[in-house]
Amino acid sequence: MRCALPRGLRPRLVVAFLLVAALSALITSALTFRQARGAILDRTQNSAVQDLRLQVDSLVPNLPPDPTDTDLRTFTRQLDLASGSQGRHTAVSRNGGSLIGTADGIGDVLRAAAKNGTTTFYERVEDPGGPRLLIGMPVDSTDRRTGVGKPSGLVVYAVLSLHGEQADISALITAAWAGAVPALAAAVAPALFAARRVLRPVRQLRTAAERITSGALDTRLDVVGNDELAALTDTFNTMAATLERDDAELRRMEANARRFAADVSHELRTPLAAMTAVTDALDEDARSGTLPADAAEAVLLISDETRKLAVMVEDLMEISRFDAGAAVLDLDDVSLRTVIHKTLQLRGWREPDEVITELPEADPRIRIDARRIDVVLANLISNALRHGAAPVTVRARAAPGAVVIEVADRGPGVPDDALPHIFDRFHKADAARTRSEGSGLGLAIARENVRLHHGTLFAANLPEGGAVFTLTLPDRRAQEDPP
Amino acid sequence: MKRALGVVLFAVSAAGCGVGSTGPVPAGAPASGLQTGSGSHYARLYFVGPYGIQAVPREVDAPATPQRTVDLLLEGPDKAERARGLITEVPPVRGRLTVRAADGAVDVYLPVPVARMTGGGLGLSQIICTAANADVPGGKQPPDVDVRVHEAGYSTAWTVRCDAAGDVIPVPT
Repeated sequence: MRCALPRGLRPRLVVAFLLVAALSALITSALTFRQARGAILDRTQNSAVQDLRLQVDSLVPNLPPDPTDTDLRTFTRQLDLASGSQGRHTAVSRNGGSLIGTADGIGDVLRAAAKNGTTTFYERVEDPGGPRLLIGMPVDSTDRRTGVGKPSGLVVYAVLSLHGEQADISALITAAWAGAVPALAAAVAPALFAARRVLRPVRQLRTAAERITSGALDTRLDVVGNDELAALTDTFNTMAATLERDDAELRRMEANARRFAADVSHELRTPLAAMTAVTDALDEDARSGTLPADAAEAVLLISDETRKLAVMVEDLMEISRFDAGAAVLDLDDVSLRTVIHKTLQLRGWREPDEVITELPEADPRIRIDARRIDVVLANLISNALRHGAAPVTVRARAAPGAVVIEVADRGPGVPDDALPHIFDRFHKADAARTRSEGSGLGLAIARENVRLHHGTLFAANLPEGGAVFTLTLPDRRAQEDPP
Repeated sequence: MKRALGVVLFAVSAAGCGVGSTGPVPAGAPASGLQTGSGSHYARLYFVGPYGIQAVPREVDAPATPQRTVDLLLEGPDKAERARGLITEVPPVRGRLTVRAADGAVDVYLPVPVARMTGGGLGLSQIICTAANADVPGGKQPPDVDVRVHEAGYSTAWTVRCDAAGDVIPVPT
């Protein structure tokens, strides 16, 4: 059976402390108990043996050399009397014969051990009536004249109750419990204290990590103490500093790159303006036929590319303005229907051959930057016409607190692997087609414009084929002019 | 960790919580002092020990007649006996204390009346038991030997016996 360990650090620490305390209390109690029990029993046994030997030594010379059973009975009675308060019972056996006296329960093992007559033995037995100490003490006979002793065949047996010693030992166990339980209870306090000391830095580290995750890279912790947790805190601080430095470096590099793009596009604009003017003039010549045929073709090619370059530079500058945060909204209350029709008119898209509009009957007024939304819609529709197939459907509806405009085409749709990157800068859905009409920045600019309106722009593929771009614009009038 | 805990628990339980039992454990030398039976004749004298009246064997050369035995008793305990804590409570008697053996009985003639004997109360018991345990003709066991006590100045004697524990008990007539 596996017992489930507690999960948290605090209960685990407390449990570990309690286990250590219990273990040490157990070991200490066990060793103390063993020692004390041994001392108690040894002293009882030694004094019992010594008392018996003294009394036998003093009484046995009163026995005749060949004592009768009566003599021996008298002898054991005197030994019993001599034991005083110990309550000892004695018996005598002659040459391994039956016991004479008041002691009973002498085991055969002890009798066999004491029989050879050279050593005194004691034995502890656990009887149903309680623990008892048995002593088997052989008696040497002493020659009166020479003083030489030899085994006489007499063995004195004694039986003592060990009730008192058992009570002492029980008291030891009670005392061990009385000491161990408060010690265990007291161990909870340092356990909680240690858990607190350990967990506070951990909690601080967690809070700091969460703050760094949420972007506060300048978060640092105070390093307190000199332990492993302090080292961890120090490492955390180093990590945060490195992250902050790298982040600043990346931001600086990105800003540099954007400024470079902005500078380049700005520098290109003036020469391009001149070039456009010249190519426009040359175009006239080429079309009027004043130039030779192949020269006219070359001029038309150059002027076309120059126009594309000019569009690209304009887009780059627009994107740079977004990056620099220089783009501002020029909000105005306009009619949704007007915005869409104006875009179609300006670009010269015909209804319903190229574009089908599905607009709500009640023409809602929306507060937008009309120029920017026009750019967005024009970009979406021209993309749809270029990559999809006519007619393109522009569907507008009013949702609660927002206006949703969908631009759907009937083309093959956007490849699935290109869908997540379709709003990236210079992303081309068809990698094989290196040259295209657009600058590659159209959708990026559209998204930035929508973001400026706090709206969203998503691209998806319709299940029946064709791509759909969903533009959601929050109703700023509802937010800014509460009724 | 569980294993370590198990080992500790095992050790504790092996130590046991009670007194526990053992086999026979050697505990030193045997007791000593039993007299050897080199001689064939012993007098059995009754002295007073720490636990009351106490029979003591005394080796003698010739068979211990009642008179000889009582004479030995009157001499008191010897050195070794005194060392073991034995004393006599027989008072010093003026005049001869005569003991005569009869068939299964002993006659003790006290030179003074019992009432005028000084000393401890066990002196008379010492004399009676010593006389009863001497070699008395008739082959009776000492507790069955009648001791007839004749006091000086009294014409009638009284009869007692000495039992195995050294207690003097009167014989019903």
